[in-house]
Amino acid sequence: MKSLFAWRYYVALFIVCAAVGVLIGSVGLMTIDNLKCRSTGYDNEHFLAYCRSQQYADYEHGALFYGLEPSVIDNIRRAEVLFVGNSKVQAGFSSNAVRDYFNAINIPFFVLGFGYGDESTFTQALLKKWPMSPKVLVINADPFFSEKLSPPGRDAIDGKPAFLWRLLLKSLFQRVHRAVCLVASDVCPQSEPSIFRSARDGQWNWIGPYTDEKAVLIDGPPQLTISQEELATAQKLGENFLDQIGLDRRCVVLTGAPNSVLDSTGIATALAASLRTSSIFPAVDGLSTLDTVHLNLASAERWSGQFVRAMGPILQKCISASLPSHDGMAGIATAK
Amino acid sequence: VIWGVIHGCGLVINHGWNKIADAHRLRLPNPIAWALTLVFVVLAWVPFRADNFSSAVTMWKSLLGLYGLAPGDTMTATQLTTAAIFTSGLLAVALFAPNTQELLSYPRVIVAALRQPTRFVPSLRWAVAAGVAFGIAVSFIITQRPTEFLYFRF
Repeated sequence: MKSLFAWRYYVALFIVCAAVGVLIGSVGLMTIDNLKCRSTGYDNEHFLAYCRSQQYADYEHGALFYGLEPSVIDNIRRAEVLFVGNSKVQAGFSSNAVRDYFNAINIPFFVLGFGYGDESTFTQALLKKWPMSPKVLVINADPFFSEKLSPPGRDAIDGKPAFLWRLLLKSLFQRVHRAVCLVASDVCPQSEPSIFRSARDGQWNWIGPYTDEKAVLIDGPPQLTISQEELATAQKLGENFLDQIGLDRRCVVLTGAPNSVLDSTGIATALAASLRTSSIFPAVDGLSTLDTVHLNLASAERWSGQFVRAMGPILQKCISASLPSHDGMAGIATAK
Repeated sequence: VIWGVIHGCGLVINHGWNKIADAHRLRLPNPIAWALTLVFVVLAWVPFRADNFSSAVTMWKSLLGLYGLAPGDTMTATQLTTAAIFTSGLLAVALFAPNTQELLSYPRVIVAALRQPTRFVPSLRWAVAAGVAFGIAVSFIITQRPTEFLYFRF
């Protein structure tokens, strides 16, 4: 009997230790595979949303869908102003101008765009999973309302065990990566472009050859637009999306981040008219992009700065109407 | 097929040599025997890896230095140094570290000279060591991508 007990005890302990071993080994391998990712953007607020590495790549879809980063879901749900769209909204509204403006008037905001071209389908799934109640919704509508779903977006929604396992590893890897690169910086080449994301307000911090050294001037009107058929689909999906949100249409602001490829302004203007929403299109000259599509840092500061200043009346109407004693309302007119 | 033929020939030579050596009381010193075996095995594995016979011949010629002894442009000094360090380390493991049978036969893995071998018994130490090692091995299997050539894993 004693021998039988010893074997049972041994097998149970072996299984527990094997599980620990699997975790240690997997995180170790992921760390070795991804040491090239940048580590300079980590802090208590920022997590590694993306690294150009086959073994890491996208993390933000899963991290936000499953609320893996501390307080990120609370911050999204607390946000009174939500910015949604694809990576263009992330590039356009990840600026000090936006952060300083909303901090000055004490209105929580969250930039809730996603890379890989994800638009309304993933955002809608996120809104369904974590019900939110923003008072103002800003949409980069070029056209945003579509049935597109990127591979990471689909993986996150499907939530298969293999995806969840890798998501857990990516989450744990960041803690190890940060510590390893702090202690032994020589083993971290910092060579792969990476994007860190704020868990507090969702802004991206692009690190690597994406950033402000690139400047492709937007000169002349963009050549591409969408077909009438796509526009009609976007209108239909837009109605459905906005009905689900249930927000007063005047508190929904459509815009189109400037770029050299797609006539975002024209598309957003048409959608705003048919969906009966507000719209803001700041007129800023001499803007540049990183890659003909995404505004670079300097241009994002200028464009988004003008955008948020133009939001004043909408914020006053939509936020003060729902919360008359809001602390920040008095500052809207003066915030710059 | 070629790989099998070469290894078959190697075994025939080995058995033939053993007979001759026994008859004449000859014995090759261990380092020479190891070196001969190692060189033979390295050359014999080439057709297993090569896409076809002509590329096997090219690889053999390269290994024998017929295209020059200097490393090609594709190998950097760092890669050569890394390869040398790994090879030396693994050679040391192969020659001096205990094998799995020895590991399971002795209560203390490093002390191969223990005189009273004991059988494996379930214990806390064994459960932790074997469990974690097993888990790490499994993590390598589930995490690694498929490789082009199975024997790259060995």
